[in-house]
Amino acid sequence: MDDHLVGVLSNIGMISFIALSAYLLLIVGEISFGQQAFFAISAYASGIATAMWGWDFWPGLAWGTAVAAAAAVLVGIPTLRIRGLYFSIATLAFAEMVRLVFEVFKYQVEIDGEMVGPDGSDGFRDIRYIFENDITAVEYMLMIYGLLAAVLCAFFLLERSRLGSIFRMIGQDPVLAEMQGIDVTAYKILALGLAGLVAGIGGGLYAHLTTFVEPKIFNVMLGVHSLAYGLIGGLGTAFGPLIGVAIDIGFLESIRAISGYRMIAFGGLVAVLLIFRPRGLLDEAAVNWIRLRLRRRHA
Amino acid sequence: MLEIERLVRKFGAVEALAGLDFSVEEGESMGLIGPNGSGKTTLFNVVTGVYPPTSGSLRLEGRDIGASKPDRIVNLGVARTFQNLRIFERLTVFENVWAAQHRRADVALRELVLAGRSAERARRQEVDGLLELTGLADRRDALAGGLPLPDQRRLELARALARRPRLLLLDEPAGGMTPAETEHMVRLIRDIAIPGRTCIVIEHKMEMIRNLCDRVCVLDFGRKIAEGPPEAVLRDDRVIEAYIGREAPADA
Repeated sequence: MDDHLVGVLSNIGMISFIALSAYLLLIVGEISFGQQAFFAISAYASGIATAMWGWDFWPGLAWGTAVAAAAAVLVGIPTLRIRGLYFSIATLAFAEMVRLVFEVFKYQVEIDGEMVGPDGSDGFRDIRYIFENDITAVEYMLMIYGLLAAVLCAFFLLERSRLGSIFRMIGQDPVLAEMQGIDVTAYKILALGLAGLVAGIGGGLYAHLTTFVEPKIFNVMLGVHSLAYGLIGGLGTAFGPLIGVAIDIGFLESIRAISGYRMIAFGGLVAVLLIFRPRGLLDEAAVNWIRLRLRRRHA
Repeated sequence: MLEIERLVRKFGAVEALAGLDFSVEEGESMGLIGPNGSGKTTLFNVVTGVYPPTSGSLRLEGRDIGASKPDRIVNLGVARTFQNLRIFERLTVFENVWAAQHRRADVALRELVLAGRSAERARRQEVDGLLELTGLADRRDALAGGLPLPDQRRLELARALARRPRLLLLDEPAGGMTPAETEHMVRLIRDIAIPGRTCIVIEHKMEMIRNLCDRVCVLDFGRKIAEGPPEAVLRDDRVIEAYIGREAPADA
């Protein structure tokens, strides 16, 4: 398999996690500009676990993910009492705070005569677990997609469950949701925790693929993109954000002829969709239409 | 069932409820009328916790609910519909009603994600039964936002009933309906909403009040001005006076 293709596909897979994370919050009606913070927290935490503490990959990834989810819940408790625009700004501020903390965060140990660990703005090098354990790029790509498939299955189960309907109810009309006996704040905190967890899986995968993370990767643009993916692909199904990622990374970024114009094309695409399809290509109406078609064919 | 004493709710300098005393007995069906702006909908909003009361006491089955959050209050067995129609437009008709079974005593917390098959099948049948009764069965899988207004009103009723409330608050359930649609709604309320529970109905259509309610309470400027059986109250001079110049009760 072509290296460039494997690289692109791996990127699509990893970014899909943060796109799904932002999507989950869009479903409960909150716009977060800060999901990159949980991606970053897990990238650092899982990297520290495997490169410095000598953990295996899976426990390291689980640890990074758990730390990200816990951080999300802790952020959610104070910020989800504020709503709408104020919540968006609070998430943005939190994410920038996390990035700036990593700019000064130094924690290194000596391993085989070399200093390993986060070194402030110089970043965190040598997260080499994948190479040391002879996992090939293709194998790692398959691991990414295996996890993505598992997370997608969880999303589809969620969408069919009462919990999924509750999330959508809260997103559409929080006061009416309260009238159905729903503790809106508690469910939003749950959604934020789950979103932190999903972003965390992506962050841990990212750190081990690139072997090197630095704070500036996790800037606001990553958060803005992950929001845009759901808005492009559609908010009616978890496939929506994946379509958004595929359009951006698979198409705009990878076709070298338009490489210099990627951001212009991306911005234009978002603007056009916001006018013509404000809830994305696969919005609720489109998804319901497809669902009914499929059912009729089976019947 | 519901006891309200000296209830005041202010919006700035305006007293939407100005020391209201009001009570409903268990199993009773109570009509709530009064000119626009007399505080009827505000009363529903205060009872369901959407607006906390400024002062006064509010008791549901003896329990003080004056400081409770809306989700706590409705989980005690209160459900309502809205004058200005609130439905989950981007959920299907079925999902609107199905999701309203949340936090009912027979729905365990773990069933938020994984539901036991037989229990869940029974509850889905219950939803389909409600859709059948309200005449929405053939729109079951349509997105609720696309329904015409009378269907949306019936959907609100089905959704409120899915919560199996002991106290049901209906806010102009036939608002904006034609006479034929209104008649259908009256039958629905009489046959499936009122039996076995306590109801409060806000309505401007006096024929509906006469048909449905054991007792009527008339509000004006946030106070109760009359109360009693529909026939007597609707002939009361103060009631007629309160309505004069706005709309005549007989043909409203």
